[in-house]
Amino acid sequence: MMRASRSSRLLALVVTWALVWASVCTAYASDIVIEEAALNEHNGILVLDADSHFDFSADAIEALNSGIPLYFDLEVRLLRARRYLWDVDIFTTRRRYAIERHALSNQFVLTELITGERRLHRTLELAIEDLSRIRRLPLVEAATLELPPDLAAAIRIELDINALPAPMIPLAYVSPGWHMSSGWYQWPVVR
Amino acid sequence: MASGPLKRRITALGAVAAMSLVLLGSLILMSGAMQNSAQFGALFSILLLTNTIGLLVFIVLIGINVRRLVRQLRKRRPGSRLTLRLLVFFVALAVAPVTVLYAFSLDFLRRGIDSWFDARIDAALDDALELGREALDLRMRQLLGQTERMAEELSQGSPERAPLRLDLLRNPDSIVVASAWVPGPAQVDALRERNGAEEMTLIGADGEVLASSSRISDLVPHLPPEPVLTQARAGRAYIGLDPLADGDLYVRVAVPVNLGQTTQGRRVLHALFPFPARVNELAASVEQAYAKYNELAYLREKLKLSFAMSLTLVLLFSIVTAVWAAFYSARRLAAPIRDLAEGTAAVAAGDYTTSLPVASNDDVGFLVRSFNEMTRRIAQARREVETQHEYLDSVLRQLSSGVMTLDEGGRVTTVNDAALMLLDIADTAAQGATLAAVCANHEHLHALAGVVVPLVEEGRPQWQEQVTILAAEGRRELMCRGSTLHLGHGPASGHVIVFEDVTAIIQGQRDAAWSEVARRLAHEIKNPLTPIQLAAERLRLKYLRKLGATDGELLERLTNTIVQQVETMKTMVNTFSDYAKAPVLNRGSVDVNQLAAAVVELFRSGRPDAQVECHFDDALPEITADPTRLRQVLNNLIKNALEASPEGTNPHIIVTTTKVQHGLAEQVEIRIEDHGDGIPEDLVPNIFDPYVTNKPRGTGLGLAIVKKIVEEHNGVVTLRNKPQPDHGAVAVIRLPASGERGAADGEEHAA
Repeated sequence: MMRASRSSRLLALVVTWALVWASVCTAYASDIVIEEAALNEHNGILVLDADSHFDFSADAIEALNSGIPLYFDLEVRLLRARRYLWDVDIFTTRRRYAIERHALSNQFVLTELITGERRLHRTLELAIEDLSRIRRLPLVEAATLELPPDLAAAIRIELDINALPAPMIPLAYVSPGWHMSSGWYQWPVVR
Repeated sequence: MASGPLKRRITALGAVAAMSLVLLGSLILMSGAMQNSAQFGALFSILLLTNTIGLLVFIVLIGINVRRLVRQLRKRRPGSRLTLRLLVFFVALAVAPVTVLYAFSLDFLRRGIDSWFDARIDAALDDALELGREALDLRMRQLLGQTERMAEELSQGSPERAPLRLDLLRNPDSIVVASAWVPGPAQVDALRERNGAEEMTLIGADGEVLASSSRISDLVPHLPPEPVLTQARAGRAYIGLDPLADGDLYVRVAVPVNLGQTTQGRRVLHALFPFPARVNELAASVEQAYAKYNELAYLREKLKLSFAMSLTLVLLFSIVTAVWAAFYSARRLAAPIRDLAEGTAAVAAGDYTTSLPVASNDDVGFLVRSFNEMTRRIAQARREVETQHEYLDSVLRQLSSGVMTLDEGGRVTTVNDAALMLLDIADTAAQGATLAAVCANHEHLHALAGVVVPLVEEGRPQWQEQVTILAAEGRRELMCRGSTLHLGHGPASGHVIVFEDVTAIIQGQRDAAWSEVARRLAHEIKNPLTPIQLAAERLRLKYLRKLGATDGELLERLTNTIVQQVETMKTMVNTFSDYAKAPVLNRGSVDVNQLAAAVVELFRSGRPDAQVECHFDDALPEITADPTRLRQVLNNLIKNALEASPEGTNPHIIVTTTKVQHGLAEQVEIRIEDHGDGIPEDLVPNIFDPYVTNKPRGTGLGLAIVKKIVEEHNGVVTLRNKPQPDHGAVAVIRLPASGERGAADGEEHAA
């Protein structure tokens, strides 16, 4: 009995530690907050507008200043929300942004990796501000989709840890400062 | 049978080897991932996880082994200490060099990584970057001046072209058709050409493109960002380096075009100037080198940590593999020795059937084979000894004489059934106890203790004594012969005592003596009795008439007395005569119940006051006996029982018949109990001897005759007082049932 209780106590300790760690990671993972997002239609094309707030950790800022590029993924889902069953995806897409420092010009470059569009900023704050304001991002031609009346949209922005240099990955995994994710921000689309 | 463990062992080894290979492979891949993050970066985490899980599995395996070993050590299992010693040896042998190697490698690694970074290189790179910036700044300042002059030049004339609205270009709803583009004015083209600009755009106050000229084939001009335009519109020139998407550096200049009019003062001339290819190349090189160095400098500690982590994983992997292998090897090496130790312990505990598996042909295998041969021989020898022992035991059991052996401490080591029967003790009471203790625990053996025990303790080599004991069945004369036991030529290691029951012989001798006495007595007394009687009768006949009435009456009385006493003496003499002579037995099948019932019935009619209770066993077998003689026995005993009752009370006797099993033989037991005063204790040992009686008028031959008749029928009779608190005595007769030894004799003479 003594042995059994000791084992169960150890198991309980491990489970508690895992739960605490998961909650710590989740808490720190809300370093990106999506404040507002909207899905609009312009000339038959669905476009996304979103305002978010990025709170870079000191580690991330240090890495950027040291020339390490950071990659952010913007995931967009158009879905039909259901109350009791899981949602049905109608359309999903992903955009990838890179933010890095150009040493010679002493500027920060924000690149949209699919289109290759680059925007230069004199300061990191300006580059982050640029990243946090998404304006008229074309997603898909509306006519190609069968959009239900109860359409909903969801977006998520998160830092891709796996894109960091290999030596940083293990530490990034265990360091809450590197877990940057907005979580899913979902809203009903009124058409 | 051996294939099972072998198969399991091979499976376990295979699994561990496969896991080791997987871990080794993942370590190699991880090492590669460290060097080429682009190729292996994605795998790094998985590999790290795989290695960690693999290590944990190994650690769990080792933990299980350690736990098992600790348990074995606590239980002092044979071979566990050897396993521990081998384990410590192997682990020390494997871990020490690996740890030293690890420490040195880690140190080399740290030094190696640190050696990549040097303050001088750091400063040189900073300087190179600064130099590049300075060089570019110089060129940029020239270009700024050049552009300002162009703006000045442009401000001399007024634009006449229809403007292209910039917001239309920016608006995704608008569509710009290439053929609709109106090329810039000739002046702008000329200016651009002359000044070597890559692109030149005149932007209106509302952000519209007033004129544009570009050497780049792009359809849309590379317009400046809004903050740049705002700065230029505010009257402050902007100049900056702009690394375009193709990787080349450009100088972006935006200056206000002052036309002297307030409303037109917000126009902006935007120009992109290329750097010469060589400058671009050098700038890119400096930029890349600086960026790479900075990145490395930033990753310096993390690299060290990652390499150290990989190295630590390798170390841990090596150590856990070595520890596990050490466990495995130690167990394998210790297994046959453990088996041998367990086998030896089993042999020591008396299990000679132990046979160990011969796993190898080496020295240990030879040892195991020798052990198996040894146990086989010991088992064989033991079987032989046991057979011999059984043989001796059997012989001892068959002996009618009792045999008892004692060790040097006087403890009983062997005792045969005959000895137990003769001494009237149980086997459990004798085994392991000293003879003195056995005698002390049995009251009837006190006489034996007084005679035999001192002789044994004295250690006399040979002796012979006759001892009388009172067993449950009566007095028993034992002839005890003892001698010391010698094993080999050594000193005495014990005693052997042989008991022989000489009761029958002595009794026979005594009976014969009594018979002779009786016969002579009868002969000597009987002869003068008849003349005495005749003389007395003649005396009365001759003188009775001559004497007077008074004298005649006296004579009559005296002669009657003489005649009566002579008759009594004749009767007594006849009884003696009967006792002394050896009668002819007329044996026949007798139902004891029937016989006893007839005798009891006779007494019931003769003594109506007596209560005679009968308990007859219906399953009583018949016996072969002379019914007349047996009737006499019952007659005597019942008569004795009735006479034993105190005066003035109604006698109460119980007659019981039972079938008893004595060994393999069936016997008939007849018990006659009374409730009288019992037999005086001093008479008990000799109660069956002639002339031993407590009755004032008894001849003293009744019980002697009973004993004689019972013995003539190969039976046994005992008479003893009932144990307290009961009163009275009980006579027990045991006679062999028909078909037993005594019955086959047919007619024979007792005596």
